[in-house]
Amino acid sequence: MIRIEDLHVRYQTERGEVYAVRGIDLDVKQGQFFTLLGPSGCGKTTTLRSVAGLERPYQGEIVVGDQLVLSCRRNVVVPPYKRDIGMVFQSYAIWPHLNVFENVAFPLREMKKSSSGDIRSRVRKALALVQLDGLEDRPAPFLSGGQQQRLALARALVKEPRVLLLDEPLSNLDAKLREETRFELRELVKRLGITTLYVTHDQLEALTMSDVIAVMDGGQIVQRGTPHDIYAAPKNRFVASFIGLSNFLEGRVKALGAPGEVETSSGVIKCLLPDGAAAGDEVIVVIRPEDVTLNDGAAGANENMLEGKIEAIVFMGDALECQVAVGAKAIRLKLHPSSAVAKGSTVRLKLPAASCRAVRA
Amino acid sequence: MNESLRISLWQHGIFLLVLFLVLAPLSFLILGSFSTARLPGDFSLHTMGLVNYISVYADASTLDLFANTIIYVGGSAALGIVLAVALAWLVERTNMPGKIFLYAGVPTTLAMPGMLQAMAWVLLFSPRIGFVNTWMKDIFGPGAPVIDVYTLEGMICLEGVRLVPTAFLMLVPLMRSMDPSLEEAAAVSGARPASTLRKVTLKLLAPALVAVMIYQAMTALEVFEIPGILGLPAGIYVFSTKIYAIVRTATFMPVYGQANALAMVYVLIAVATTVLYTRLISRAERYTIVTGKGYRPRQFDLGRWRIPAFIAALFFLFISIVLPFVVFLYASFLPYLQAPSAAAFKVMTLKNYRLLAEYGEVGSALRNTFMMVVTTATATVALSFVVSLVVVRSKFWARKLLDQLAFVPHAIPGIVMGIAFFWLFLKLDFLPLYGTIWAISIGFTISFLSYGTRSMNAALLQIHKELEEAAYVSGAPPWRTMWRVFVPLMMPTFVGVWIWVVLHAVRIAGMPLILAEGPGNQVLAILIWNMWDEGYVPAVAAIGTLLMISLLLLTVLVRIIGFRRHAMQMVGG
Ligand SMILES: Nc1ncnc2c1ncn2[C@@H]1O[C@H](COP(=O)(O)OP(=O)(O)OP(=O)(O)O)[C@@H](O)[C@H]1O
Ligand SMILES: [Mg+2]
Repeated sequence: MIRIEDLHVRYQTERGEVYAVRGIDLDVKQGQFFTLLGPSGCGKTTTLRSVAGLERPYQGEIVVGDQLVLSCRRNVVVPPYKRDIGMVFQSYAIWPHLNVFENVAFPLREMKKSSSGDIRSRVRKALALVQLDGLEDRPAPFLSGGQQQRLALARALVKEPRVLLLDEPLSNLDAKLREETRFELRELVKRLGITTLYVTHDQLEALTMSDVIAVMDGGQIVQRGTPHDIYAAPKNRFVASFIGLSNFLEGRVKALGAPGEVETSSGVIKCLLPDGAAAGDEVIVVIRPEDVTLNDGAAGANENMLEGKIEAIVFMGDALECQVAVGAKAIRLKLHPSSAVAKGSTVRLKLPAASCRAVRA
Repeated sequence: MNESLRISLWQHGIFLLVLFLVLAPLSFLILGSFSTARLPGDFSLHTMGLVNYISVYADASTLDLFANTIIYVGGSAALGIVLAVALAWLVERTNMPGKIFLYAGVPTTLAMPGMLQAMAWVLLFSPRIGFVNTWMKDIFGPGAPVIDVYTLEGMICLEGVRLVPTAFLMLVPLMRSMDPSLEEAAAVSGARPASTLRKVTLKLLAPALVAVMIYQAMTALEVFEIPGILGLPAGIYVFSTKIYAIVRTATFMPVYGQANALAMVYVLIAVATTVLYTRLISRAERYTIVTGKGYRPRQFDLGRWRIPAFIAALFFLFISIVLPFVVFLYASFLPYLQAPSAAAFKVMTLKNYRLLAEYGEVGSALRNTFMMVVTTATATVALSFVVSLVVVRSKFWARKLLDQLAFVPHAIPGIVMGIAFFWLFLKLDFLPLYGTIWAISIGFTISFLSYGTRSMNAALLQIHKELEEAAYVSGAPPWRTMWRVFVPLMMPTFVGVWIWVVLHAVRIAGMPLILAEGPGNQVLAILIWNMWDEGYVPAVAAIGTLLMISLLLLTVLVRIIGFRRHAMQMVGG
């Protein structure tokens, strides 16, 4: 539904050139909820705005639906107002001089064929979708943040575009509202079956809402996959540290196999090796804190046992976070809040080999 | 593709238009300064030379001219800024009572035409007829001290007072937006209030203060009416009046080329200050510490000076609005000019007002003025809007240059603009503009372009970029977006600029005086100037009174619109 090929965007500024997007390829299927996730400044918004036609990439090709909207090679640039898209901006961009009804009717009035009765019924329908019915005559500035966000959504949907673009639509909402809206929003676009390209820097949003996540860094996509894959099998240290908490143990591959073995400063760790790893390769073993447990028994075949001293304990409400010094490194783990642990005591940690994952350094 | 080509054509069209409007008169001004032909009409490239420069700058009196101008400009700018800082500080940072009077009153003083204020001062302080001087003589006898307004000091005082409202309007937001925690940080670091004021407050304000000062000096430099009314009769010339004197009051044939040569000083200053000012402004913006809106700087406790401070502030309003108005109102009922006394009140009459209604020239001047201000204001709004749209909202390659081009005319006084146009319209005689009110309209439009674009730039910057982009992705092409998003959002600014231009175009005498050519394009300001020159003081007082009343009403209207705009921005932002 959306296909981006080898997209490059550069900005000319007074202080030289900013190379914001450096060769992005992606393919969003019909009806998919696709999220671009990454730290601030990694080029997510720029990519999204290129799809909308608000930026002028200097290389690449973009197809929306069956319309070729951008091809730098063939010199095709379709302006935004001729693309079949709806977009929700981060600031919502509600026009303050128009009321709720007219804000939503705006896109319809730009279409030649719609009659005024037609407009009225379509606006009503769009407002009902986002539960804003009854507020038609309200001047747009007199809406709460959540209502503005829904108004922006109604305006983006009223034309029934084939593609919906969302740029951090929840970032201006307070925490509680954001949580509720996450589910509502996903439910709504899924019900309409609309293809959605979503931009966020909030991992929780990405994990809970998406069908597919593309993690971006420095203007490139580093990894793409389902939320589960991205979380469970981060491809490199950046993805692992950006999504969730991770422990990192640097080392070298000692033995191949399933599981393989990696020699680290905290001892030899049995873990899953990256594809094509060879003995002696430098790797980083990634372990999620929740996969580490305290255990006094002996090590099973596919388990690692490490011994260390508890350095710090932090009470987090729903968990105790402990930091255990193992060799020269500290390993963090999460325990049930009622666990009886004491600072300074020596403990044994159990790390199942299946949840230790070596990535290339 | 087609669309972007069309947009690019539009942008180039606007750019070329502004380029022509600004540079064409300037180039004629420059060429004319080298012309040895006596009249602009005889100008040709074969009669060029440095004669004008030599005769102007080698003249001994030119030294006096420079000295006078520097004293006048420096003195009035200094006086203006001191008064303005004091007033702004009083209303923003102290607990003086009755601030609302100043918030409303100080900007209102802008409505007072400088020409009329100067005339009012003459009526009060002229050594011969001045009411105050007459009273003093009555009380103290012939040996009484005489206050003479026809002096440099008189000009400095009046112009200083006139500079206050603009500076006040620039300073108030600065003082308001200054983050109090910066001063508090100095205080908890052990600085006493006085040294906090000196080391932090003033340092932070410094770039902005310098910018305001330059702006003020430029304004003082180009004002014509004050030195015209107060200086010309006494033979005290500053630049603007000297240029006028060369062109208009010389008994023999005027030497236009010399006026041009003298005006070159302005052109140089214009270019220099444009560069300097834009630099400073960007520095000032960097310094301006606008933090959360909730902040309210701590207020300085004036103690027992609260009431005296308020009275002093009110005295400023009295001097700039009430006094001139009362003087004019009084004089407008007199059959002939005399100092206020019981006898004078007995002979008061409505004759002057009746005469105005019967005097044909007043009618035609009013009609001309009406046409002129309406076209000027409308053209200024339209041109400024499209220029600012390109400057602020497009990626047009020359948008910075366009912005500066639009700013240049600000530094060029009306008198000089007038001379430049005089040459232009005489030379481009296929355009039937010379001697019409359209000539004045075009000249004013260019002069006001800098104000118009400054306002529009600021207002356009307030409109979040995504409001525009949301229209594009909603399917609106650029011109529809302009029509449906920008124009309605900008409407308050349009109205504000429109009225501002009307307020100014109606009373500026400098440029129309140069371009005036008989009754065909006589406007109100010239009529008043000429009648004053010929000594019809009570009649001038009658017109002046009516003009003051209408301008004050218009200003109140602007204020009301201003408040509305403020409210809209708050909800829209
Ligand atoms: N108009 C612009 N001119 C110059 N540089 C820009 C412009 N817009 C973005 N950039 C730069 O391009 C890079 C990518 O910006 P982009 O807005 O796409 O980031 P982002 O991933 O959306 O970040 P965030 O999460 O903070 O919104 C950044 O380094 C940014 O500074
Ligand atoms: Mg962004």
